[in-house]
Amino acid sequence: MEKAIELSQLLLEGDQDASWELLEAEIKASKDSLYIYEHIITAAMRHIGHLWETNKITVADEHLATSTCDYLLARYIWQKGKDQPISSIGKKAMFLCVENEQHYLGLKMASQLFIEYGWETKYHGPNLPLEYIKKAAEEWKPDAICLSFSILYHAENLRPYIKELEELPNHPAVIVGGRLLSQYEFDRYGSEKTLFHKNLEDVNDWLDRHRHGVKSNVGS
Amino acid sequence: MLDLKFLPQPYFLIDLDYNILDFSQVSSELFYIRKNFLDLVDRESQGKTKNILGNLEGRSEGELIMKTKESPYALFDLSVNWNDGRGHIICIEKDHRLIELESIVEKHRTRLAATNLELLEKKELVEKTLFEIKSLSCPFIKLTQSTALVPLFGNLDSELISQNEKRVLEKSQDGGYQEVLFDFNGVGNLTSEGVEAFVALVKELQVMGLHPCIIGIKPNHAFYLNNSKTVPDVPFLNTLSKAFIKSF
Repeated sequence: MEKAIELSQLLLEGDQDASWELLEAEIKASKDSLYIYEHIITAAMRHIGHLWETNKITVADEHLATSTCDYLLARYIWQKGKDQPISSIGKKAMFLCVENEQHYLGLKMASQLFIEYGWETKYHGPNLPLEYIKKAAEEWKPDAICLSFSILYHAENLRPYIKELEELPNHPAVIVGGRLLSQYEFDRYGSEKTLFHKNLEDVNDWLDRHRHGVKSNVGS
Repeated sequence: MLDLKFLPQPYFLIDLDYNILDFSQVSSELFYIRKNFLDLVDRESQGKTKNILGNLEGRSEGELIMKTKESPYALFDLSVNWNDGRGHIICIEKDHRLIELESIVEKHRTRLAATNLELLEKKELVEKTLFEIKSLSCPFIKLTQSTALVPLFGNLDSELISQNEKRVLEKSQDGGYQEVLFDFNGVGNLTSEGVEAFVALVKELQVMGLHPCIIGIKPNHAFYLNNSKTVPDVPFLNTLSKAFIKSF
């Protein structure tokens, strides 16, 4: 947790270089991506959320921290690919936040876990209208589509997204994620096929099972 | 108190339990007025609201997410001043320009990501082209039944050799050649690694019983070849015609 709090300070200062050095030290200490994403980066961003709740910082500060963190994640996956070339497993996944949802860091970390498992990915980022992703998915035919939301009020958007994406001709697996999933049940917004992942560990476990060839009952 | 009705900003008067006692006209234009002030605040901002309002000793302020008629998730700056068990609150919505700026920054971010990807694609294309160029820079040409010419083009680096040595070795073996003439006329710069790789190739050909021959060495090439760990024991000739005269 100490490292996470240290990182949160660097992110709030917008210090890309010092943030990267902190992350690099974790890589050198042989920490895996799941640990770095969950216990360093997510923990740092949660701490920043806590600082806002306790009136220590403003939303403008949060924006700076978010964009610094965005850079950090991009550099992390680039470095990973350079250190250890990843061989493709021939599967494709798309990532997006539902309409109006601006919190995209969790989604980005999930997409990077997929990359490390050899998936080909398309990361569409925050606030993606349904008609756009539907069209993109029809053309690209992904095996999985990952949706993310962080604001309770945006959960209302889930139902049409899940329904229409699961009904696409190639029946992609629809995976829903976001910080609220560990607090509330959202099953009612999906079908029996929809996957709800509470955290990155769930994502990682799912990827692990898929890598080892255990077929999930989704998308079939 | 009547005058406060016409304040040009959303104003609320609350009691110690946060019940709304009075509000300005602008407040009712912006919010669906409820009994309690906390009902106007987003669930996840309620703890923060209590903290800000909890300071009964004077003034406090902070950012909150509030539910307006327009949006269930709007960012406000809230200021409160307590006096005699009554809280006077002003809520000012964060400038709309902030949201506009956010969306512009987001567009730039997306574009930057796309540009990155485009650059990556171009880089991969260039690498692929470079590979093809290197493969074409070491053709294996049959001159006679027993002689083959391998003109080298471009820079002699380790990639040029590693990419082509397998093909040169296979072709040399297949055709029943006796001599392989390496033509350096088209070679620009050399690197030490490239020269070492080339010398290793020449030696392999010798082991296979062939007679490699090097032609068209220029002074800058000679410098590198002489500095290599082992200078190949092969004839060095300055032109192809001399190589031919020697052969026949």
